[in-house]
Amino acid sequence: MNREQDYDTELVDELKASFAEAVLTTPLSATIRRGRRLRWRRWIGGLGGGSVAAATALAVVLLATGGTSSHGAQLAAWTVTKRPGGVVLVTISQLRDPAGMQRALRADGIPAAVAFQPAHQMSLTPPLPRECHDTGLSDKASAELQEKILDDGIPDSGSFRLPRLPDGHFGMVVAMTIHPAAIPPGIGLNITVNSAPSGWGWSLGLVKASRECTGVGQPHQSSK
Amino acid sequence: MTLDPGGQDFAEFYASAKDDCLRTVLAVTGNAQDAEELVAEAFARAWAGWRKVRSHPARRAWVVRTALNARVSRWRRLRREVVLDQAEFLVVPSHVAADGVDGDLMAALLRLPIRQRQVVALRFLLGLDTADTARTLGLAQGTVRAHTTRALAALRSDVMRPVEGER
Repeated sequence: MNREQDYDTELVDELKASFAEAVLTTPLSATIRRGRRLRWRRWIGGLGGGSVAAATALAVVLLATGGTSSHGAQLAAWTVTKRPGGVVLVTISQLRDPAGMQRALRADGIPAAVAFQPAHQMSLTPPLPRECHDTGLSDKASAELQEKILDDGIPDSGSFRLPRLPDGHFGMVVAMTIHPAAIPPGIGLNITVNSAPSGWGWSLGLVKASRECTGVGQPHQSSK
Repeated sequence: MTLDPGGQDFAEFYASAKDDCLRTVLAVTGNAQDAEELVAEAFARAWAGWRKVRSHPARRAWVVRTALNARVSRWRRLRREVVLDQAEFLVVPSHVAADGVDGDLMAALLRLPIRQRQVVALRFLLGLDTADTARTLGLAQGTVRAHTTRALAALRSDVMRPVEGER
């Protein structure tokens, strides 16, 4: 072995040894959480999941005018409300009638597929419904588009009040604000909400809009 | 937190790859705090897109590349300047030493042109071969070999003590 290779080997070994003590201290759980936020998934533990008063699943509560207080009122399992400016506010407090919520979203101009999945094990990667297909966008493009389409939570408009249950819990466990104008043609939303003893979770992903998946768009053509 | 099979797969990848990825990014950036933040962000993005990333042929290289790209984006936002083609990954002047990393060696690394530093980091700290290094950086393999030779020669003259017996 000539002198150069001796140096190279010695140098490379010294390089590796010098960095050997550097370790990533961020725990896996923090990474999962951060990734989840990027994927627009949120966990809220135990807020009213099992104690919400029964209510008509198809009720739509009008909140835009900021009027009626819902304290002590019976709660809808979910609400889909068009706000001034065209944004759509979605709240979910019971996993009931996903088809109804899906119809309501589509009626407000949001091509959407909705699924509620009570589960004992939270899936961090819920599979796409069979009739839905990936957009083909890059992760970066998908994340950027989702940021434009979805706000996680309730807009700070001052006109919306979280309904309180008689036991003091908030009657809503999931809230999202959707900007329909930001959804490009050919794109739809796949919303999955599930629950487990540890809490609730939801995810929103982008899918190709099609009649089979989101109720609007061209029939999906299978590639050969 | 109970993880589904995809999550277990990611957890194993995270455990096996996180430190090598950190060391690689640290060697390029010279800043321990930055490297920690960038690599953590890159792994979060990997998790966010795990359905695709899990089948990538060089997942660790994907994480490192994502981390370094995130740094560029942050740098551009902070400085509002156009990045030159030759300086695809800019150098942030501040240097926050990482525990255990030889200060002279780190300084020597930071004196290398950015491309040489990236090649050294990917080849020897991440353990990529020439082909994967070339793919990750968008270079020809011959260019990677040239950068490797020059970088090692520069480091050699900068930090290496003479071999015993040599004057």
